[in-house]
Amino acid sequence: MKFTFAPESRPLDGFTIKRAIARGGFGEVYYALTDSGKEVAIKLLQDNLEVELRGVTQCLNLKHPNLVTLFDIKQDGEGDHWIVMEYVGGKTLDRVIHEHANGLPLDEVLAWLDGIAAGIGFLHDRGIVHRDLKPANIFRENGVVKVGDVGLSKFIAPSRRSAHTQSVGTVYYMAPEVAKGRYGREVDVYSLAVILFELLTGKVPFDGETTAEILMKHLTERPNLSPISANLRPILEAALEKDPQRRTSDVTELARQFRAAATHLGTSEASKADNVTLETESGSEFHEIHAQRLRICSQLRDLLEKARELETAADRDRTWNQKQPPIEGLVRHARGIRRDAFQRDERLWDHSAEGTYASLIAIADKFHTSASPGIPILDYADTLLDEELVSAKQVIQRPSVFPNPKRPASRWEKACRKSGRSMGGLVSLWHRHPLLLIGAAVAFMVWMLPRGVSANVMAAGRGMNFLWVLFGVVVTIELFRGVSRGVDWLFLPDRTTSTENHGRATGHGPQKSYQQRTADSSTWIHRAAFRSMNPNTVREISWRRRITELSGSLATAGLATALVTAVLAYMTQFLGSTALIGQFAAGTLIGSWGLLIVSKLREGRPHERYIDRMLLAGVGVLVGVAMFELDGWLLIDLPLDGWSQKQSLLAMTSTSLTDHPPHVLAESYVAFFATLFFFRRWWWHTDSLRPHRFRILSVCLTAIVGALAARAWGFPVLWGTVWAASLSSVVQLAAVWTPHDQRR
Amino acid sequence: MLSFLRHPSVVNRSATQGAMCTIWIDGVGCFWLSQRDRVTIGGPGAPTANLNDSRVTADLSILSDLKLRHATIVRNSEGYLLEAHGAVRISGRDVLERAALCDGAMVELGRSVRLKFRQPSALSLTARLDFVSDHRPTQSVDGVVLLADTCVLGSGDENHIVCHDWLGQVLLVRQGAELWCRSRQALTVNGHPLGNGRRMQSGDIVSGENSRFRIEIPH
Repeated sequence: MKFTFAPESRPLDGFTIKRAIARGGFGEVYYALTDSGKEVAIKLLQDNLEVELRGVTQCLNLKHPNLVTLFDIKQDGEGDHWIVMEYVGGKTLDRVIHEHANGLPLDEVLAWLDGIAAGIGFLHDRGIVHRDLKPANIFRENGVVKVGDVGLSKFIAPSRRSAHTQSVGTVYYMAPEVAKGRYGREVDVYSLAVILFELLTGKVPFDGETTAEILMKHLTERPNLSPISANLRPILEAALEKDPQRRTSDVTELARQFRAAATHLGTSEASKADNVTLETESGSEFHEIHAQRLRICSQLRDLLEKARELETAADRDRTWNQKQPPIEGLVRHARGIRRDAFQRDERLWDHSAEGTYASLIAIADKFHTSASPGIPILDYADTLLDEELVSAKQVIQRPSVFPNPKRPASRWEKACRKSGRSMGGLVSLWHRHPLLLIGAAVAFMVWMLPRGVSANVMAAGRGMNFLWVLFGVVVTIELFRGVSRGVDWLFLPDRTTSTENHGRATGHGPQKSYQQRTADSSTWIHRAAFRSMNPNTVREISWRRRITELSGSLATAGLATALVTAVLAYMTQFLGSTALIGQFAAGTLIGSWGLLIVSKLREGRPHERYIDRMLLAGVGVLVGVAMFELDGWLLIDLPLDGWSQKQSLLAMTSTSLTDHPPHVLAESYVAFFATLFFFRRWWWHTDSLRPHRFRILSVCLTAIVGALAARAWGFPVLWGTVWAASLSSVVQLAAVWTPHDQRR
Repeated sequence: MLSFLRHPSVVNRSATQGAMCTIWIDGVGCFWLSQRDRVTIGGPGAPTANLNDSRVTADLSILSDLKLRHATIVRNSEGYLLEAHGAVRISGRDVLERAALCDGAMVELGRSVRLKFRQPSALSLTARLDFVSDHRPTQSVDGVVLLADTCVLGSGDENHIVCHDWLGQVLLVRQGAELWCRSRQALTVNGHPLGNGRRMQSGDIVSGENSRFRIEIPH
């Protein structure tokens, strides 16, 4: 911290500056001695605004033991104004809160409250509103609480924020109506309530990364008062009311109510130090957790400090590229600490740790963006904040920088990520050399097509060869999409989920080109901020809810299966016998149940596409086996519709099929269902946030995939097509769906 | 005419009492630094007493209802002892003659003066006295450092003088009767680079990127 005046300088005649005390929003404060040895604090007003001088002059003769006394206003040789005031030693409330990370004992809180309320009450009685009440302005010396900066508070309308180097520290305590330029005495009540909340819990009720975000929370969010004891909750709730008309009318009243409730609480709970905070933790456990939290926070702060140093150096020397590896090291370290904390006890990772961690990730994000020219994502997000508070709020809370903040990665997710990493080499090879992939696809087509064509000229003549072409096109399109989307076609989660952004923040994975990154960052912000929720949206769904919804869906699937089977049995000649009807219904029911169960269990989690598809394919295998067993048990032969198995992939690759049995092979059943379940994105059929309740297009596409799969594996094509279509219909009808207007 | 009213620091005298140095640290506070092996603690004495004469007043003279020399803190090669000349309790126990001081000991002098004895680093014999009660010398002082060999200034609690927002550490090292300043940071002393170290003289201002302090050494 640099200060204008050196020790021993005498900008004002008769006062010798000994040291600087602090720098506030209004100017620098120095500890000085008068020539006779009297200690004073002198404050240099940096902007000599008329209004400030008027404010101070107004308060110059106010005397109260709980207010820092103003002695005089003086002008130095340069024409700058200085305020000479009482020097108050001792700790500021800010420092005291810092030393009690989980809140102060109740009797301490009351001691501070009484002093503040008396001082501010006196000001209100004289018709003056403090307007900038915050812990950094409150002192205690010789047991007496003193409120400082009286008459100094600027008009802190948001539009003038930047011009006044307004620190974030102030907005934590700023009443919502201040944003509209209203300064009744209720703003002090609100600030005092925020301070009380912080004294009790060690945290401010509304926290955020930027001034705009905190302001937004003051304006819209209800404070979470759950950490506060039930007796005190209604009092703080009334004092933190957004509407000043409905808020507790003055500070004396707030102090009276608080003391009454606290005294009651104190007698019932013998005023334990921690009786108002973290009610669920008690005794030695509380202290142990507290100590560990402090340790974690201190480690993270150290890392953040180092990151900031690197950031400053990189900014100065333009060496973002060189300094990226050490930043990545710091992030890895922090991530390790976070993982350990979650493994030991979820409660160890508190609000402050998360904030520090997020700041570190944000710095890493900045490094990654600045390493090569492009739009700095966070800067862009901040610009947006000033313009569109509401939309940008979602950007700030994006899961990329706060990867599932409160929830540790489940064992399943860890396994997914691990497998994703192990496949990473292959993925990056594909990503760097898309031509390899395209070449492979073309070679596959060239190898497949002649066999399909030559082996069955008649079939080709009947136009059925289009299936092969279609199959090739679908495969190629899927592969192309995989390449064009970057790394994550199969393995990594979608952009709206956490892991990819994680990778980007830490610089893992291949570097993207300027255009690509620009497009990425803008579309990503666009999507995150404006797009409605879809099946890729990561969200918390309780087990209770999953099971309730699933049981409903399974029952509905039974009804839907019966309906579909009945329609087919009555309207078509397709299901010739009762046994076939049974086989069809059983396949549809078991298949749809498998799809519904897997999708419901994975709903709301980051979609690891490859894993999801493999899981579904596994279910397909089980369904295939079940159907083959049922086939044998019912003694039925599915009608093989003219397409002998010789043209199937099984026939081409297997030598065991020389003696073709007249019925469908077990391999065909298994391969058909596995392929069908693998190639469709079934979560888009079943997720409660799917775009439409029922999409005929999805049914048609599934039918085509079914036909192709059947054709490929020597399974009856008609059955394959109809079974696929009915599965798609049944799961769409059965799965729970949330209408768009209820998705918040 | 009014020179008797002028503060000692202004009239070319040390602001400190006895042989104590004063360090004024921006954003942190004011600390006294004693290089003596015996430091006496006592009350203010009669107004006629010469504050600079350690034969009359204690080295650490606190505005309080204490004897002129109420206690003496003695440093030897093993640690610190407190010799009581008046009513003294250490961590709640009465001291009749002398008692050893260990890190965290609460020293109660007379009825109301309370000081905390801290030895923040096991690597150094240097200790610090924190004022717990509201009693102070005639000026606001945040702590008294009993300098054995080295005094470390930095942000962590293991430093003898804790400067919360500092990025690096600064060492004040005793070399014979002289006090030297060393640091790995790029510091300046009165505008000249600190280099490998520099002998401190009264009035020197040591500045770094985010730190600044001034030292006053008695003649």
